[in-house]
Amino acid sequence: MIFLLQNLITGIMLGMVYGTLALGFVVLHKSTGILNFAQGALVAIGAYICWALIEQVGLYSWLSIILTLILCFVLGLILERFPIRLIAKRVGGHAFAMILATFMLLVFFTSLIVLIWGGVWQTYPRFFPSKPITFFTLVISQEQCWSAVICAALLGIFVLLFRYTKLGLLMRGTANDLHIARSLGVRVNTIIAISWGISSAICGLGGILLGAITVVNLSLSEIGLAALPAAIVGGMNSIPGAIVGGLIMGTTICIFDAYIGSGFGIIGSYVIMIAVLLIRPWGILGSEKTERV
Amino acid sequence: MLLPDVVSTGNYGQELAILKTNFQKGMLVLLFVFLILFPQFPFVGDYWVRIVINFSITIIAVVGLNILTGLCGQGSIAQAAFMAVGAYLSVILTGKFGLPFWVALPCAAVFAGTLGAFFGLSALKVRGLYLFLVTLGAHFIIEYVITHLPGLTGGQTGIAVLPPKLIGYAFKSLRSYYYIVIIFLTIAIFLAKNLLRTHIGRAWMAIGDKDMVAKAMGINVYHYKLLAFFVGCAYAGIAGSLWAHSKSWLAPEDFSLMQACWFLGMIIVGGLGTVLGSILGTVLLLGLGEITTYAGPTIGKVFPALSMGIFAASSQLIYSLIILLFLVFEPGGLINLWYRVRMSFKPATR
Amino acid sequence: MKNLFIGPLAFSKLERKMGDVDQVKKSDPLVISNLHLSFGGIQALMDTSLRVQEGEILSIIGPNGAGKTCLLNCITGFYNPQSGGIYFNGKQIVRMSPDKIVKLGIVRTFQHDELFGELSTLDNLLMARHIYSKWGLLSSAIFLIWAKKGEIENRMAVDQVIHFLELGSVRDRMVRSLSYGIQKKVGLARALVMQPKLLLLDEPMAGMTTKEKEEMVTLIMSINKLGVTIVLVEHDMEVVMELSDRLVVFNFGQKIAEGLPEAVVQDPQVIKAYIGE
Repeated sequence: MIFLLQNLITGIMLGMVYGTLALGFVVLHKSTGILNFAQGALVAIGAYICWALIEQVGLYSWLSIILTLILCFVLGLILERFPIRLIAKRVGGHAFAMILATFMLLVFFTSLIVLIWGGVWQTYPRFFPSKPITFFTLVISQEQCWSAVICAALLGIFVLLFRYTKLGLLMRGTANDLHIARSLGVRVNTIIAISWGISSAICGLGGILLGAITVVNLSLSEIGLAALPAAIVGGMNSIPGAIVGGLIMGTTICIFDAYIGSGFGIIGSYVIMIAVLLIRPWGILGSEKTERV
Repeated sequence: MLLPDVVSTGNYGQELAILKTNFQKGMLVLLFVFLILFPQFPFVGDYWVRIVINFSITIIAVVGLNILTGLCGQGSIAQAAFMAVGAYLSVILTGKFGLPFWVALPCAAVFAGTLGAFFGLSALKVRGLYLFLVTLGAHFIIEYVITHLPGLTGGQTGIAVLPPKLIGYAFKSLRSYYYIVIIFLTIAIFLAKNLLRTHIGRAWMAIGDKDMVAKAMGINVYHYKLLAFFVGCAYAGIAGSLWAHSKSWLAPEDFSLMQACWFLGMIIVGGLGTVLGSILGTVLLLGLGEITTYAGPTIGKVFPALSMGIFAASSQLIYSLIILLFLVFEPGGLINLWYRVRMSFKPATR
Repeated sequence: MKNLFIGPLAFSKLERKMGDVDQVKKSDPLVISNLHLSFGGIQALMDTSLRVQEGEILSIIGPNGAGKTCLLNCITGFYNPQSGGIYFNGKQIVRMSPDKIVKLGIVRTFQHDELFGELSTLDNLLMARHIYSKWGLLSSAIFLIWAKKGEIENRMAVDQVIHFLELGSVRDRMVRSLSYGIQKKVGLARALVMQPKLLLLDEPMAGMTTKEKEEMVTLIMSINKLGVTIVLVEHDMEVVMELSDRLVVFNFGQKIAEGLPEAVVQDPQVIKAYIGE
């Protein structure tokens, strides 16, 4: 019983982080219809840049974090401006070409990381107090706890952003119908660029948090990719869906890993993703799209 | 409905033929002569024979993927996983069950194809991006199953492979195995070319372009999507089986997600939906990879500051960069590039 | 001429029977009864009934959004109406999948984007021979002798249509490079290759020059003379008046008039629909 609760709690904590990463997927997909596999790399890059700023450049932790987020945002803008926009112009029709492009970006950045920093593990200095919280007999590490809190705050900010701000409205409009938005005078290119920037910054934050919970190495990009089933299950065109999907996936992965065996968690999440795709492709909170002939 | 009769042009045979001009036929004969004599030349080292074997096996897998993804439009990132299925089944059948290679390979092909079609069943409910995600899931599931059955597959560490036998003669040497691979490569290309010039290939082409209109042509789209999965993954199975028996040890690392990624890159670089494109794309990317590995140490001497990890990372870096460049500048691949070059000389129509 | 207007009462029991219906004659190529089609809150077709006679050219006209293309999509199986029946020679075909409907002999053209742009005219027309290419995977893979014979037969059949429609000069040209009028002709050719018993044309003249329209009219008439029943959705009234044996008018998803062209055109409801707004 305690074992189950312990895993549930870890799962929820992890789920919050997954939810945040899933949010990165969803924000971009909602605005541009693209599924950005490069997210995995962006997560890792965020983590590495932050580490580099702290250890190699010697900045204060807080400053490094903020600087990393800004840099990730800028990286997102650059990515959108260069490969993505050009490819979108050429092969807008073939969705698969775009997906492949993001995959290639993933590989490109992963190999870049290896080139620049080598494939060695790195660890952050302690951001959070190291004493774990004990609650009856449950043990929760402070990193996980604070990460969950930060993610929850972030998700809350995003829900508010999308629902109540002008930027959010513009992003939703662009996502819904690009051409109509453009004809209404919305600067669609700017909105898309901002979406990429925000999405990358979210990934960067996710990378930093995951790096704090575990270690900074390349496996982070796999974890970044593992947020994909979370986004699918929750609904690729739903912001609250990302949160829900993240929580479900986080707890599922933890439970599976604990009860069935390490490594099964990820597989389990993909199996669930396939099941959801077959039964209800637009996810739990997503909405269906009809096609015109 | 009866239309007035028409005197046909008469040369349908030539129109249909794979090799249309005598020049093409001649070139093919020359190519075969070269391929057959190639390993016999004493100055050709084992390294080069190995390269041709690897290239040929990859071409087979890529041709299969090009049918499924390039032609029929069903994006799949599971081709490496299905290669693994073919490879492991083939090794298990020859090793644990003592079946001859000539039985194991077709079994591997059919099993991989059927498993592919099984995952392809989801095409009934999902399409495009979501189908692609199903194949992503398929990759992870297959990878998991293979690495978690150590009794059968040797798990992460791998399993020993017996050399294939024909009437007692064991194809132990690389050069003798080379001929097996070349034979299968020829058969694979021939079958693919044939499929592409019949209604089956056309149906796939229609589905890949506009599947609504394909339905209006009387094409049972779902049935043909399943067929594309079967054929594409069967090709992967053949390639996997050939790959496994070309080595003495089979391990899961050869069938990574990255590998599947490169396959997709090869069909883009070569040209979607064409057999020749598959060959060109494979040769270009693998060729560049070999050059990087070859030139790596030399570069390392010139730039000693670069760490040892560069060799593995740099080939990945170069692959991804090349594929990205093609996506931006020539998404039609080398085939399209060649077509555009030809068109710039000939103002007449195709 | 017989008044073939079928009111809703006559078919209210029919739609629940599957298979052959005795009131729906087998000789009637197409009978539509009480079709209802809606998307979410939008009612695209409301209680639509229609009977097409053997060998006639029936035109369907109406303002944009009236439901004409929706009707074609229902007949050809692309849309599934919520209720109602569609009978082809007495056989219930509603909600059947499009590829099966083509095999029955109902062929349609599309308003836009119907050809495979990267392929040649020949290849586009060969697509239409799919239903007559009955050899399987293995035969194709090794290009067995009957696969080769079948492919040659396909090409001969396609060349017949190319000759009939005078498309010989563009036979091997990529369709994307052809002029709009010729592309529409290729679309029609493709429909012919399937040897339709019932041909549904969705705005075949849209965007054509006067000369091209005249040519199309002649073509459609000669196809009709070959015994093909034709249902034509069109906007150009001159063309419609010249071609049609009968005329049907739609507005807001409902049929508002049916009968001989001269009579329908003078119907006050029709005039209101077109000009009255």
